[in-house]
Amino acid sequence: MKRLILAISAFFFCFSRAEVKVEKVLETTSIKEYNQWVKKNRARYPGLRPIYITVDQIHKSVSENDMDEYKITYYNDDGRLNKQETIRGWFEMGIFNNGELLFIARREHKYYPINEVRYIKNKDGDILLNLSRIRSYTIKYWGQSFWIENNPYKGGPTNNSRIRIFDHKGNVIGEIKNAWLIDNVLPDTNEDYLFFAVEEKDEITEAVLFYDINNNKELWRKKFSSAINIAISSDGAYTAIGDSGKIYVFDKQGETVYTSQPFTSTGRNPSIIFSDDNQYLATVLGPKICFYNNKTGELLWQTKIDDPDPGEKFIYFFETNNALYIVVAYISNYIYILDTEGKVVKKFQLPFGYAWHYKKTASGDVIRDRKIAVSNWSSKFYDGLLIIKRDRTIIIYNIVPE
Amino acid sequence: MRSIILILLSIIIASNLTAQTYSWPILPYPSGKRVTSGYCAYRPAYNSIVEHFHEGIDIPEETDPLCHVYPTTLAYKVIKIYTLGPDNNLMVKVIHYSDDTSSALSEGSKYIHLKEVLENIYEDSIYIGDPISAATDLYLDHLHFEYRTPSDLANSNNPFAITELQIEDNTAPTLCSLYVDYSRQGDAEVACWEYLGSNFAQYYGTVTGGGYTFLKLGLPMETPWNDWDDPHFIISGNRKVRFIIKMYDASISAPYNYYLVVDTAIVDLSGGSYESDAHYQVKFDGLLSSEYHREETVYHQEEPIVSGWNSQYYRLYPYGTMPSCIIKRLALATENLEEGQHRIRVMVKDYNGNTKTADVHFYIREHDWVDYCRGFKN
Ligand SMILES: [Zn+2]
Repeated sequence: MKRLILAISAFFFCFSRAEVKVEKVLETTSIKEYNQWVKKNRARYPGLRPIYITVDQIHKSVSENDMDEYKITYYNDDGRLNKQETIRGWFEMGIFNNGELLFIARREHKYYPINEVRYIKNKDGDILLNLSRIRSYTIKYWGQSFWIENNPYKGGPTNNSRIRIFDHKGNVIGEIKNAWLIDNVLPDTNEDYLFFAVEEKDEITEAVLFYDINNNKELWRKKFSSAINIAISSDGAYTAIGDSGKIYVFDKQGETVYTSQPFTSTGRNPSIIFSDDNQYLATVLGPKICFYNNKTGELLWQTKIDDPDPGEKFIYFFETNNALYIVVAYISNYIYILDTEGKVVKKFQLPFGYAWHYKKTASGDVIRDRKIAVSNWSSKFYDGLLIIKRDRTIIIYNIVPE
Repeated sequence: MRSIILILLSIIIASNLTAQTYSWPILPYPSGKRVTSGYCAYRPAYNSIVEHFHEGIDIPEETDPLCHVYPTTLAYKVIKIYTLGPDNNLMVKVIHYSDDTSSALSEGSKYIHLKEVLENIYEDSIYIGDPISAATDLYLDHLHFEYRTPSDLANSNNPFAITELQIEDNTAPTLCSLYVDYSRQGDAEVACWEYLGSNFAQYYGTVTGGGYTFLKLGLPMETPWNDWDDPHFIISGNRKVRFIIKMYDASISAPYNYYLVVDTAIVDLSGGSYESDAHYQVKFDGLLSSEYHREETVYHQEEPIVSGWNSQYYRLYPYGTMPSCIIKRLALATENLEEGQHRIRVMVKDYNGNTKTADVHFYIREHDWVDYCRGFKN
C-alpha cells in the first residue's frame, strides 16, 4: 500500500492569540501503517486506538437461495494479521468498543431466523459472549460494564415496547418502558448516566429520557414533536436538545437551565456540544454557529460561515494550551476552526473531491444536476487529532496551536 | 336441499384520486419492476419482533449500475432518518408533497435498508426530485418500501393502489389448504367422506397446533363445475366447526389483496349462480396502526390459538377483535345447516386479475347414516 504523509503548509489568520496550524500527519489505506503510527505515538496520544477488526464483503448473494460471504480480519497492535475467517449467511454486523468487539448476527434465511446465531467476538476472534438466547436484535451501545439492545423492527412498536440494558454476561440489568426505537444514546464520561432520544410506542412522539445506570432508573422524560439532536456534558450535569431551530438545556433533575432560539430555520434541528468543563455550549445549524455561556445561558456570539454547501456534519470542542476552539465540518468537506471569540482561525478542505448529484424529473427521468462534495466520511477527535475515515482511507490531522 | 358456502376472494383496486406524479422508488431498474415480498405477506415472530403482516413491499436492488433510491413522489419532505442496525441499515420516512410543493399530501412513505443516505438530505427539509440515497447497495439486498397514510403516516397501505407502482404479474395466487377447527367448538366430529369408490385421501390429513388438532384438506386446482374431484368430508356430532384457509400469492407478484366471502346460497351442481350475501370479506389494501395482525389468513370468529413459526400458522382472532381487513363477517353456523351436502367455494384474485378457485364439499350428518340421495339431491 502506498504510504503518504503530507504536511500541509498552514494558512495564517492573524486573529488574536489563538491561531492554529493544521498538519496532515498520516494518510494511508494500510492498517499496518496506521497501527504502527498509533503505536509509535501512544505516549502522546493515549486515547488513540489501533484498528483490530475489519470486515469485507467478498461475495454478494445473487438470489434468495444464495448467501453473502464476508472476510473478517483480526489485526494486532502492529497491524499484523492475527487471524482471518470467512463467514457465509445473511448478516447484521457492527464493530463496538473502540473497534475491539465485533457483533455478528447470522442466519441462513433472508427474513427468518433459520439457524440464527448472535454473538460478540473479541479482537482475537474468540467468542466473548453468545447472545443467541437473548431475544434482542442487535446492539446499540457497548459500555464499560453494560450494553444496550437495539430492536427497532416491525411487529413493534407495541404496548410492550421497551429498551433493555444488559451486563456483559448478557443478564438484563435495566429496562426502559414505553420506548421503542433508539435514535441516539449518549453516556457521560464515567457512564453513570445515559441520555436517550427515543421513539415512543406510537412511533409519532419522540422523547428524550435521562437514565441513571447505577440505579437502573429513568430519572426524567420529555416529549418533543420533531427529530432531536442531543448532547450530554462530560460529567452528566447537563443535557441539551436541539429541536426545530431551538436549543434546550436541562440539569440532572430535568429542570430547565435555559432555552434559546438562535436559528430562524425552525424545520431543522441544531447540533449541540458542551465544552469539557461545562462552561460553554456551541451549536450549529447550516452556516450559523452560536456560542453560549452554559452557566448563565447568555449568547456570547453568533457568526455565519461563508461555505459553498453549509450542511453541518459535526461540531466539536477542542482544547489545547489552555485555548479552546470550536471545530465545525460541513458536507462541502470544509472544516472550520473557530476561537472562542467566533473568529475563523483556520479553514481547510478534505481531499475527497466531487461527484455528480442526480435528480428525478417530473417525467421520471434521471438527470445530472450539479456537482457535490463526496462527503461519506466519518470522523473522530482525540487529543487534538482529527481522524477522518472514508472507505479504506484514513487521514489524521494534527491541530497545533501557534 | 343443499347450501353453498362460497368463499370468494376478489380484489378492489383503490383508485388514486390526487393528480400526482409517482414513480418506482429505485432508479434505474434495468431488471424491471420486481417485488420479492408482497404487501401483507405474513411474517412470523422472530427475535424481539412479533408476528405481523408485512407492511410494505420488498424491491430487490439493482447492482449494474447501482441504483439510486428516490421517494415515489417528485416532491417530499424528510421527517425522519433512523439508524436501525449497528451499521448500514437506515430508514428514511418522508411526507409526500404535490409536484409543485404547494401542498403536503396526507400520505407519505418509508424507505428501509439503505446503506447510506445522501449527506445533503436533512430531516424536515423539502426536496424536489432529489434522491435520498445514491448509487448504493442495500442491506439484505432489497429496499423495503411502505406507502402510508394519513398525514401522521400511522397506517400502511397497499402500494399497488398507485398505478405507477403496480408491476407486471401473470401468476395466479396459490390456494393451499382448508383447515377445519372442530375439536374446540364442542363435540363436532369430522371424517373423510369417500363414496362411490372415490379416493380423496391425497387431500385429507390432520395437523396439530396449540394442542388442538385440525382437519387439513388440500385444495386441488379447481376443475370448473366438476365437483366429483373435490375433497369431501362429513361433519357430525354437534356439527359446530370453524374454517381457516391458507393461501398466498407468488413471491414476485402482486400482494395479498383479496376478499374472502362465505356465501350460503344453495348449491347448484349444474353451474348456476351464487347470489346470497357474503359472510366473510377480507381485503388487504390497508392496515391500521392499531392493528398488529397475527394471522396470515382470515376466517374465524372465536378465541385465538397459540401459533408458532413453521407449520403452526392458525392463529385465530378473538371474536370481536378482527382487523379492518375483514370488511364483512357473519357467523357461518355449520351447526344450523340443513342435513345434506354443502359446498365451500374459494376464489382468490390478485391485483392483476389472476384468479384461482377451489371447492370443498361437506355433508352435514344428523342421523346415523349418510343419506346419499340427500347428498346428491338437486
Ligand atoms: Zn420488507
